[in-house]
Amino acid sequence: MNCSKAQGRWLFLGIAAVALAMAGPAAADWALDFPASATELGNKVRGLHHMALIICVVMGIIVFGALGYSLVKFRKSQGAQAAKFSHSTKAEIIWTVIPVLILVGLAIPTARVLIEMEDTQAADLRIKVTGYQWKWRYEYLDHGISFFSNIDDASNAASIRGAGLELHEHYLRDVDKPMVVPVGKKVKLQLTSNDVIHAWWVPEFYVKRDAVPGTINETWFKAEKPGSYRGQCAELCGRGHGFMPIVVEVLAQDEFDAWVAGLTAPAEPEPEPEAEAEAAISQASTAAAGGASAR
Amino acid sequence: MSDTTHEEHHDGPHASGMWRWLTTTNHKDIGTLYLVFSLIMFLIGGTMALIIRTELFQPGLQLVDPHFFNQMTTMHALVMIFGALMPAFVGLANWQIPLMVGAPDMALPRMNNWSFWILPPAFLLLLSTLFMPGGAPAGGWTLYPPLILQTGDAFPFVVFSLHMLGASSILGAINIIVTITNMRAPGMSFMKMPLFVWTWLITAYLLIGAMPVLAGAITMLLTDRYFDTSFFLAAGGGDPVMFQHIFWFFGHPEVYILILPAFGIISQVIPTFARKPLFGYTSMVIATSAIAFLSYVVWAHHMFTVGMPQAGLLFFMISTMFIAVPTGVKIFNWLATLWRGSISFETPMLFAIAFVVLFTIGGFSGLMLALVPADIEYHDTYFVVAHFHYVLVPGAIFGVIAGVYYWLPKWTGHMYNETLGKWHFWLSTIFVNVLFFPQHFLGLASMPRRIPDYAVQFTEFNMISTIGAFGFGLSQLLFVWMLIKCVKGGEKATEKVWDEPQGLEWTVPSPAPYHTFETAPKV
Amino acid sequence: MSTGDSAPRIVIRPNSNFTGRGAFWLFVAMTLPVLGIAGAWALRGYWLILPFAGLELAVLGAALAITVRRGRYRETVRFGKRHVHVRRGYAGRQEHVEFPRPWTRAWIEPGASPALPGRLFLGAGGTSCELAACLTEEERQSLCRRLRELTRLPVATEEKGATV
Repeated sequence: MNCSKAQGRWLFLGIAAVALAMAGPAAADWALDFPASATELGNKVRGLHHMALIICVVMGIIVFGALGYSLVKFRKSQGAQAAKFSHSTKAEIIWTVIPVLILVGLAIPTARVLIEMEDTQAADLRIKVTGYQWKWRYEYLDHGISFFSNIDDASNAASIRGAGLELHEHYLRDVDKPMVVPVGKKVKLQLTSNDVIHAWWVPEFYVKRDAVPGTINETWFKAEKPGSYRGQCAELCGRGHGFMPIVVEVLAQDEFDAWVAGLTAPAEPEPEPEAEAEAAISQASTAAAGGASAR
Repeated sequence: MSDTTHEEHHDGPHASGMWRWLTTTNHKDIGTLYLVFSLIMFLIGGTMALIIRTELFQPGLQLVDPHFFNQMTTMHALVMIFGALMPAFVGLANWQIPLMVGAPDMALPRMNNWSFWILPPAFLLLLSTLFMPGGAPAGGWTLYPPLILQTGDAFPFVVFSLHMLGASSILGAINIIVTITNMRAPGMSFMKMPLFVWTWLITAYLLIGAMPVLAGAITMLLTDRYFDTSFFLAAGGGDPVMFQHIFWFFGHPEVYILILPAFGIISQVIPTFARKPLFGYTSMVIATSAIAFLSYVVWAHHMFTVGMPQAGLLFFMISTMFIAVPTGVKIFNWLATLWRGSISFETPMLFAIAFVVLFTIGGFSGLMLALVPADIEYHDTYFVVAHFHYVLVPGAIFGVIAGVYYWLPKWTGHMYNETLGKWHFWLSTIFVNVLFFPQHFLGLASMPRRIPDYAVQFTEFNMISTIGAFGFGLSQLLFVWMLIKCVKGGEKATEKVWDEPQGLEWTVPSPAPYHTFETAPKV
Repeated sequence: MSTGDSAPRIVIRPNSNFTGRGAFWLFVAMTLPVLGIAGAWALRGYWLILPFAGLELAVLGAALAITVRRGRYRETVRFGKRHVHVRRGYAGRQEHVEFPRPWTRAWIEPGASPALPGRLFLGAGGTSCELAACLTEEERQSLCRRLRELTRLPVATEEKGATV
């Protein structure tokens, strides 16, 4: 019966989730669960997700088990006679109260993580992130560094319809200039947008926040390990929404300092935003007429 | 002096052909019109979904331009929500509510005719925007500014067509409320009404509350673009996020508008085939009302990432989690109805059982989505897509299909072909899972929704999902074939059709004659 | 129904649960949340919801008013000594027809198509009027039989009231 099938799926999902949690960072293909977290907070979120998933799987086993039992046991073709009862106050109270208790048990740890998540105090580094159609701009408020981050040329070329080019490993998830941050430091992001609403998202940091024009949204992350972390825009923002990747390079503090020095010490002028913007427009010049701003 | 007739209650199908359908005020005719319209829209919206899934079969852009892809996702949602699901439920209401409460017709037959005939021009207009310069709206069905203001020439037409759809829904809702409150047969008190009638009464109430909000929101978009207001424009001191608040203030009740009547249908079907009265009728009514009430205080759970005060996040998280309680009560009541019943598995029952299982899965993922920290990771990924499609396809649409199989013999006077029905059921249920279950994994592996192209690690599950989409889509052609066969002929249906169905609709002959119950039958 | 005169009388009315007061309270119950929602948004500056809420409530009010009015529709057939009196319409604005009793007949014409209900007429000579359009076919048949019975009675002695 379909109920046992659905039940099987949930079991499969549960087992897969547990297996994957134990396996650590697994191959991306056929991934069945959240990615391994690169932040401490992310681990807590991942833990919440697993707790909720397990509660759902257990409830699913109970509900679908009872359903499957009824469908097998009380079949008319097996001569089952229908009972006449039509309510039971006791049962109805039980299955109202028990879910309430479960929900309260779930809400309390969730609220704790939420409060921690919203605490943007005491940041070591502040970066202003501005969304554009369709690229990101990063401004290091404490260092006077500012640059645009566009999709890499290889992805851009391969994403043209019918290009037939080979797709590289980080297709659509690579940029020309990544955001660079030091490891183990609390990085506060101040997000806004130049045009429509975007959302800055790096899955392994468990950070996603909308970049809204006219508003500054704040969020933060503290990466635990050096490496490259990839994400992309998560709020539909027009034709190039799928082509707006994010890469964060997490470096050791001394490497980060060297990177900062390399950008600030020689009098290399900051690229003009206008010029960059024009380049981006020509990149998107294949946009359909209606994709262009109508205002 | 002599031959003046009391015309209001009297417009049967005098005329023939097209004119008959244009002018009919008979609730059965209008119900049929709504259902046929809904089926056509279901096929159009489904075709759009197949275009989306074909493009997503593998990474790289093969079929469509990203801008057209965005038009498809937007139009697919608008067509399915406003064109397929809502008219389907209104059509079922038109057919069944008068029969179920023992009324001769809907309370306001002429208004009933208008509320249907607003729909086809509204959708012609909406679909015609695909051919306008700049194309159809491509900012998602949620119409978030500023993006939606970048729509080309089509923008005012989109707003106008949505106004028409809203007007149609409001007229339909008013008619249903008046019919249910005024035209019940003597002896049919509120607490004796079938649950389908109850859920529709509550749905109509939600529609009346929510629809003006949508109308106002889209009008403010229009004035922002053409009349220099700045309700939602940051440049003029407005706040684009407030549109999201207003939209979801309409949108969340709308979500329940799409599922409550399905709850009603399932509550009619399961007792019939379990041959046992519905368990916990009163708690079903209370649970439905509670869900409706809660739907007005949970809207911001659609926007946990926009930047809200912590207290707001906590409030909307907890109110959302509590929707699980009345929803759980409903599911447990259905289980208790099956418990110690005498169950048989005709097609409507199969769809109802699949509804209970798959809607519950959608409910579980909904509960997970309520948890703010986790939602921040799920938000705008395929996990959300999987969640709401589980609730809307094997939820709402299976509810409609169960209702159609259940009442079809009453409408046409013929039994449908049970073999075809079973094939339709099994293929639909298997493929709908092949289609949507892998999308949970895609979302967890961090594939965003509404993207025309994706990173290579998402390939495998997307391929499976696309195969499921074609399987599901093609299975629906069996449904169409079954419907045509059943309308044309088939084994004669008896008055009761099923073994022991409950309710007044089973006491009239099959097919039901025009103007049943012109005065009240005794309940 | 009992008015003191002893002529047989039949009252026909549509089924309606509403009283004017019930409809009024229903309207109030719908108005409060709708205006509350629209008003709350208007207070925050998003006032364009209000006109749509108002428009909707106007339609709802009209729908309720029409329904209440339709519920008051009545047809009364009174068999006097010489004439059969038919009053029909709404309270205060009823039209009145009378037929000479000895020639009055009741008959049913079949509907224009098998799907349509039949139509019951009461009349004498060249004039007639339709009755009981709001009844079921079965009830129309039985009403017709009853009317025939009454037209055949020489003098009314009993009081009859049938409310359907």
